[in-house]
This record gives sequence, C-alpha cells and structure tokens, in this order.
Amino acid sequence: MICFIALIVFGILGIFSATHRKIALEAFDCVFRKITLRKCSTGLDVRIKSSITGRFLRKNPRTGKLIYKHFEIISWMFTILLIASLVWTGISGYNYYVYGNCNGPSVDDQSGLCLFDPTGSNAEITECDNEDLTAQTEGTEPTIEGIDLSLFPTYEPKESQDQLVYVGCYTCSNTKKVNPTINELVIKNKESLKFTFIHLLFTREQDYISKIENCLYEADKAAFWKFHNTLMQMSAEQVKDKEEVLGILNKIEEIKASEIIFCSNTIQAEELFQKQLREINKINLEGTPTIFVNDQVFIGPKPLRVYEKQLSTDVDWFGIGLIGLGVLIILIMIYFAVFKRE
Amino acid sequence: MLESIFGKKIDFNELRKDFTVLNRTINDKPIIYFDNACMSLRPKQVLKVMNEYYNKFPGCAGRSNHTISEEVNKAVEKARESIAKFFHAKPEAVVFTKNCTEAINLVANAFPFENGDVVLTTDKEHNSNLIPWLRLQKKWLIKHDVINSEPKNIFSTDELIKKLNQYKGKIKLVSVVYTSNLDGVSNPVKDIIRICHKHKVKVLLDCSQSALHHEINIKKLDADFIAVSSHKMLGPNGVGALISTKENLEMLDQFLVGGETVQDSSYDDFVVEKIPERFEAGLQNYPGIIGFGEAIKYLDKIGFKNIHEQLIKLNSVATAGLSEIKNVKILGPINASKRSGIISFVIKGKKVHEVSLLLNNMHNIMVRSGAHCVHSWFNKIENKESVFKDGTVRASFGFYNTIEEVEIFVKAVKEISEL
Repeated sequence: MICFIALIVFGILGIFSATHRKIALEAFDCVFRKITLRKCSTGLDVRIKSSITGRFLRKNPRTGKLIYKHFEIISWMFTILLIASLVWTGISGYNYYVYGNCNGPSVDDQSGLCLFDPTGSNAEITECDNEDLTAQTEGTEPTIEGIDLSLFPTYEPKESQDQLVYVGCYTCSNTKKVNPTINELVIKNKESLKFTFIHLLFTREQDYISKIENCLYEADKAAFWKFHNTLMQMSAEQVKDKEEVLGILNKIEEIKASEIIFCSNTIQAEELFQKQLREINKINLEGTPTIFVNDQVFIGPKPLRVYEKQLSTDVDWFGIGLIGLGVLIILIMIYFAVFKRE
Repeated sequence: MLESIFGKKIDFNELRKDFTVLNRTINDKPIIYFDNACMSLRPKQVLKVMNEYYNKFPGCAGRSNHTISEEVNKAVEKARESIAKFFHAKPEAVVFTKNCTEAINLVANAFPFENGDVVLTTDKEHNSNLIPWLRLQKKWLIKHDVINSEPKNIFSTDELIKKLNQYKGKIKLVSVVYTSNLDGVSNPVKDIIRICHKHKVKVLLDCSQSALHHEINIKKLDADFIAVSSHKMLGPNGVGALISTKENLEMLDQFLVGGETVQDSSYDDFVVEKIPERFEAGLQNYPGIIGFGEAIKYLDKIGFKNIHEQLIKLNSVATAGLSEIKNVKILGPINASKRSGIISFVIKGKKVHEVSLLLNNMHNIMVRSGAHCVHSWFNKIENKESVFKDGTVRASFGFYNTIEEVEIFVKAVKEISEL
C-alpha cells in the first residue's frame, strides 16, 4: 500500500525533478499492477519499507521493530488518510469550480476557508448596517421565495428559461467588482435570462436613488438601465454626492430630469419604496453582492463560470469528463485484470 | 609505505589508510563496504597517477609526436608491461578493452567460428559470459551448451568430458568463469584447460572475480584467453583487458574497427594494424589504463597469497557468525576457504533486497542483493524451488576490510533475522 502514497508524493515532486519522476513511474507501475490484481515487480515497496524502518531501527530499535512488524497496517492507515484527503480535495476542487468556494453551495459554506481562494475574495461582502433593514436571522439562508420581484426593475426576454436576481449597492466595492461579470452574463444570455436588480441602500440618504430608479423604470426602461450602469461605473464617493447623481439624469435623452425628480418625491414613490424595503427585509440578506441564479444563492463576487454553471443551458463538461475518465480507468483495470493476468 | 612492507608481513590496517573513501561517515557511522565483487575500491596511488595524466600530460597516445603525446605513449606501454608481467604474458598479447564484458565480446565476435561450432559455458556464468554466446546462437552462428554443475554446485569435469565426447570435435571454445561472483567458488581451471586442450578446444577464462586474489599465470595455466576488469582489481572503471598469446590473437578477426586499428586505408581497402593495436579501436581510456597499471603494481606488492589469506580470514568469521543464525542459509560450500571473499546468503522469510537495504540503512553496510547478473542460474528449475529462488544477499570482502566490520555485519544480520 505504501506505493500508493509514494505515487502521490513522488508524483507531485516529479513535476519539479526527473529523479522523483522516475520513482513516481515505478510507484505508478506498482499501484497499477496491484489494482489489476498482479504482483508489484519494481521492488519499490521493499525499498521504501527498508528505508523507513532502517532509519527508525538505527535511532530507536524498539520503535523500528514495531514499525517493521506493523508496516502494512501503518501503510494502510496512511493510505486511507491520504485517500480521504484526496477525496476531500477533489470535492473541494469541484465545489470551487461550481460554487466558487471549497465548501459547498450554502451561504455559510461560502465564507469558509478555501485553499484555492486563500484571501477569501470570492466570498467578500459589504455587510448591511441600515437601520431600516432588519438583521438577517441567524442560520437562515437568503431566499427569494415568496418575494414579490415585480416591484423591482427587471429585464425579461420573451422566452426566459433562467432567473437572475442581483442584490447590490452603488457604493459597495464588492458590488462594483462583480458588476462587469453580471453584465457579461446578462449579455451572453440575453435571450433566456430574466434579470432583476434590487438596490440595497446602505444609508437613508440614498433612499432617493431607489425612488428615482423606480420612476425611471416606470417612465422608460432603457433610461433606467442607462442610469443604473452609469451609477455602477461611478466611484463610491461620486455616488454619495447627490448633485452628481442627479446630474446623470440630465444626460439621459429619453427622459426629462425634472419629471423624474418630481416623480421621486411623490407619495406613490414613497409607498413603492416602502413596499420594496419590506420585501428586501424578507430576503434575509447579509450584504452585497447577493446573487440568486435560479435556486442557488451566491454571496460575494464569484467568477462568471460559477453563475453560468447554474443556468439551465449549461452543459457540465467537467462532470461528464470526470465520469468518462472514471469509466475509462475502470475499463483499463478490468482489461489488465482479466486479459493480462500474470 | 608499501616499500616498507615489501617482503614483510602485510599490515592490512596500514593499507586501509590508502583507501580514503573508508574514512567516510554517513549518519555519524563509518561505511562498511562489502560489495567488492561488484567493484573494488581504489587506493590513493591509483587516483594520483590518473590525476597526473589530466594535470601533466593529457594527450593522445600512438598518434601525435609531441612531448605530451610521447609521455602518454610511455605511460600506457608501461601499464601494458605491468599488466603483462602480472599475468605472465607478453605485452603485445595484452589488449585493452572497456571491461571484462567487452573482452569476452571481442573473442565471441572475432573467433573464427564456423556454422555448427559449439561453445560451452558453465551453469554459473555471469551474463557477460553467457549473453555473447546466446546472441551468436540466435544468429545461427554457433550452438551454445551448458556444463551443469554437480549437485553441490561444484564444477563437474565428468560433465565437461561427456560434452566434449558428445559433440565430437564440434566444440571450438569453452568459456568458463574462474571464480564465480555468485557464491565465490573457483572452478578447477587448470584441469578444465588440460582436458579441453586434449580435445583441441580453446579456453577462455572469465577472471573478473579471481584476478584479485588468485595467481593467474597464463603460461602455467596454458589458457588461451583471459578476460579481466580493472574495476575489480583496485583499478578505475571503464578499463579491462583481454590477455592471450600472440598466436591466439593473430587467429582472431577484428571486432571494433576504426582509428588506430589500421596501418593504411584507401576508399576500397585497409591494411590491418599489428596486435594488440588492431583490437583497440578509437581513442583509448588513457588515464584508466595508467590507473590500471598502477593498481596492478599495488596488488603485486601485496601479493595475491596475502590477499587470498586475508579474504578467507574475513569470510571465515562471517561464515561462522552467519551459520549460527537461525533462518540464515548460505549458498555454496559451508567451508569459507572454498568461497574466497564471497558469502551469499538468504534469511528465510525476508526479501533479499529488504535485507540489503536494512543493512545499508541501519549500519551503512553496503552489500548487493538479487541475482547478481547470474539470472540463468536462478531460473534453473531446481533453483526456482529452492530458498534461493528470489536471489541472495551477497557480501564480498576486500583485503582492506576488517574483522570488526565483519562482526558488525554478523550482528546486523542477526538483528534483521529477528525482526
């Protein structure tokens, strides 16, 4: 069993050194022969056993004898640990590929430690501290179930197959970080993706932005998306400057800025805004960006492939490849075990 | 130092100082080198003359006529003379080769065989004295046959005579090992040569293992060809020699040809060089040859009898020690004096490579394990079913080894057998 450990260890070392590569090949030969029910002929197992036990026997004969006698059991223990570790590494790799983190699909998992993303930048969020928004109920995942999404600006193609709900704020760095990815996702899937944007305001001073957005969306949808994109491209400091924000309206040709500002100050606008707040409270948000792709929620700025993996149009080539490779390995093993038996 | 011991009783502990590698320690323990059957160590005198070549006269021999080249010529011919003297041959009958294997290959490829000729070897030959003949057999040039040993693994002269009679004049060459690297047992080469010559059959001796501690007098033995390797005689790697007589060498065709093997050449033909140069193709290993000559001088001063006695003394201690260990089985005769400096053994229930590696990792004891390039012997049906089926652990002593080292070795084998 020691050859299996040697295969992994020397396989990694073999990337950098030709000497280790040779041992890794010997280990591979040995492992392959064993799993195809043939005798290991390289003698590598004997060499490793003698090398390890010899060192112990030299320094501490009692320990050395113990290791020598139970070497196979110890090898098995380490092999099981190694296999378990490899399986977890594989799962982590898969999770990272599919969910952008090592730990899995849930929000709690997404903020855990991940070797592939050591800085945790894929799960960074700007936390909510707006007193109008209730704190997230601990242990409850963010959800859009039961949320009236019709209250929020939405782009809907004729035949939408998938749904993207994007909760972001214009002054948050992580929202700005993910925004180009979301834009790319929407453009790539414009024929099939229904896209809703929920503005999560972080201070009361920004209420007016939501109200203006609502009025814009009501007046001219294209004008709304222009306003939205311009805000996303502005710095947080610029967005905090009300005059600068209102100045954007003057640049949008499709609408009259004064009418929109007037609209945003009406009772109807306030009522809609309050309704939106109530709905946002029900989402159990932790912060921004929080992105829902169909039934899966993601917090923090993830790579594009992670969002694409959740779309119904995506083909899981990674999974298919893994299964194919597994089947091929099993077939080769069966071939050698049955037809090349020694 | 050697001058002071010349003619006196040899102090092997004093000689040991000439082998600087023996001062080496690994993990704060001195090394114990018991792999002399594979390769002996070199005294500093040999290393010195080899360095001198590179530092003082690193030129070609037999080609240019400048001072450095002349110095190389002299040194090489001096080495040839030393080697010839050591084997009681004439200098022109000493052909330098890469090693013993190449020397045997030279005979195999240059001997005037005719279709249907037979070559005999023993059943304990190193691959170097088996494969060249098997290759010729595969090419339908000769038939190869084996002289099977007696049940106790000792050469059978009866079997030799039986084969000589069986093939009735078809046997052209008997190629036998003098001292087996497998178990250290020496063959009765004088008797073999006498019997073979009676049947007008030439004899080639593989003297790799024996040249260090047996007197090999080509005249007294009346051998036709002797093949040796320098690296088993305290000399450097990459040099060996085929030692013969002028008549026998004249009989051989050329094997490797090219530079230095011809006197003249045109686009259609060439004129063969005189012996031994006609067999020494291309630029030779001059420092190796010079080192080989120095090693021979060193050996000559100690004397093969002294070396032989020392090896038997060491082997007797090892044999006595290992014989007492339960589960240890020694290959070959139990009498150490019949196995020169070699003791091949197995520990029942332990893999041979495991034992050698444990000896190395625990005590820096360097031995060899496996089939020792005598796979054919291990593949014999009767041996396949014996305790030696997976090979042996082989400790082979040099005269520079000590009784204390052998005692550590015996203790270590006992420790391993008890694991």
